[in-house]
Amino acid sequence: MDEQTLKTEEALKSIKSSDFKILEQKINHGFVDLYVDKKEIFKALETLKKNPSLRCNNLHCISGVDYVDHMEVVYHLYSYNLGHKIALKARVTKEDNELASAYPLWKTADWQEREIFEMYGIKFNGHPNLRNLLLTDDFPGYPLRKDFPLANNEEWLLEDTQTAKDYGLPEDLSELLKTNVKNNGEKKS
Amino acid sequence: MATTKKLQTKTVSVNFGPQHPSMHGVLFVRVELDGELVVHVEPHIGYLHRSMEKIFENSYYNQCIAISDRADYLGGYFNETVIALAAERLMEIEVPPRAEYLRVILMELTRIANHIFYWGNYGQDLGSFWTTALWAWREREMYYDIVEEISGYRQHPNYIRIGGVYKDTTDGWLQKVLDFCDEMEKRLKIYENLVTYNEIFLARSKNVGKITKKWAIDWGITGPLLRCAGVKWDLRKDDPYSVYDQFEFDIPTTRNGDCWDAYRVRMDEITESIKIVRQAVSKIPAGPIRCKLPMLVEPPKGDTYARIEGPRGELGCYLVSDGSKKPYRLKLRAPAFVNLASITEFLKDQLIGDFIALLAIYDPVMGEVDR
Repeated sequence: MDEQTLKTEEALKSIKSSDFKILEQKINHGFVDLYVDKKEIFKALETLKKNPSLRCNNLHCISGVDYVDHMEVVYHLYSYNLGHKIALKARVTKEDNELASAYPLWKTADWQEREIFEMYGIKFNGHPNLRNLLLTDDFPGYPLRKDFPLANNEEWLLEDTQTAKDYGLPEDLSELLKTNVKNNGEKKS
Repeated sequence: MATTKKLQTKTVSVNFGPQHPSMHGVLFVRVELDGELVVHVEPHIGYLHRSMEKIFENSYYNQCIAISDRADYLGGYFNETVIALAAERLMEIEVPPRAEYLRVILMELTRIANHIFYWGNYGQDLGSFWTTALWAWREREMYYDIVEEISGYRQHPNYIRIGGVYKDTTDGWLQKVLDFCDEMEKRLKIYENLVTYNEIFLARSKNVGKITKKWAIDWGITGPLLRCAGVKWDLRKDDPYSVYDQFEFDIPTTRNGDCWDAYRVRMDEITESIKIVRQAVSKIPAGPIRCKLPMLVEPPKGDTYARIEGPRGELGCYLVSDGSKKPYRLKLRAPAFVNLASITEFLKDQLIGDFIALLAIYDPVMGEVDR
């Protein structure tokens, strides 16, 4: 535990329960992780930005993670003046996937939230232009979710074995292909 | 009787890119013009999207490092190092000092090559047809020779490993690095004479555009663009990683935040990088270059965020591990992506003649923007 995280923990004590509620707090590799309820995310970001003893004026990274049973949005905050490093985390589910946008506080949320929207299907309320960024507008599904089918799914295999037959290749090629692709390069046990 | 009508102008929509000689990579910007004035900017990205983050989730860590070279294809060493740093932080391993020094030398050489490439292209964008660009490519060739000798590849080195580096130096390699520094210093003077205070160059870049501190922080801008607005902030000094705390160097800043300042900061950074390389070569210790680790590493369960100062700003890596041989989630926080988001505001209400001059100071590498 270094000096800076201790300072950050001390500064975090100035947050009142009327601002927002910290569900869980821990130190994680130089960052102070804060878990908050997703309904309070905007309040939490606003407090961290405007509280004079925290002054986290830089939102440098927003990432989404899919943990299968729930999803997480992680905001990495930094204070240029005081050096606080805070990771704010909020949990959402696939059904209940709406969150307040950080765009009114930081304009950098524009593209970063759009990327999370197209990759995970998490909706950010209050974002002025929430549509696909890297993918085409009619792209089906949310590619970074863990249940998104990869190229080595059954349909693709079927197509490939058909062409193998068409070209007069031996039939056991399909079996060979199946094992190779399914193991995905791992050694056979 | 004819009545005098108020003159009505009509806006014209112009497509810039994705294939355009002065566009940097496959960036597509739809510009709404009112005469010569840009009234609306609508960037479209994703032409180079290779779903890199999904591929990371299905690859081993050493494969991730090889793939990450393709993100920022002008500075592969940075992407590799940030992933290695994140994994090392989770595994709580210490890298042998010789490997750390080799990383620093190669990262700083890459920064020099990247900024030189920027210099060449920026000169070309502002009208020095091919002279600067070809000179920059000549200089970059010297850098590629050095890199090729140590890693075996030119653009995609695949050299950094988790827990160290791939290979030790060959005989006389460090001397070649020093020779490169000497040569660069000589050529920097020629560049200064040719471009920096050139009258045409000054006319086209001085007082064009304005980056302010508050605006830059609001948009999450980092790197040379933040420093040209006067914020003295560099991760190498302010959040030191690797062995950067053992070198003496300055962080060049300027105050105006115009195109010329963005150029000036980068040119000064080359001088500082040469200083760091010289110190690293003189201080480099002998010893092992890699920890004894299995080929396929398994970082323990947890998540971490590592960040380094890339040539375009803060290059971050958010790594979530579930204890297996493959990362559960690996997000690259690409500086070019975050910086480029601000062009909708930055290019608005500017003249179309300044458009490329303003866009080029972002130094966008589309491989990194689209990933």
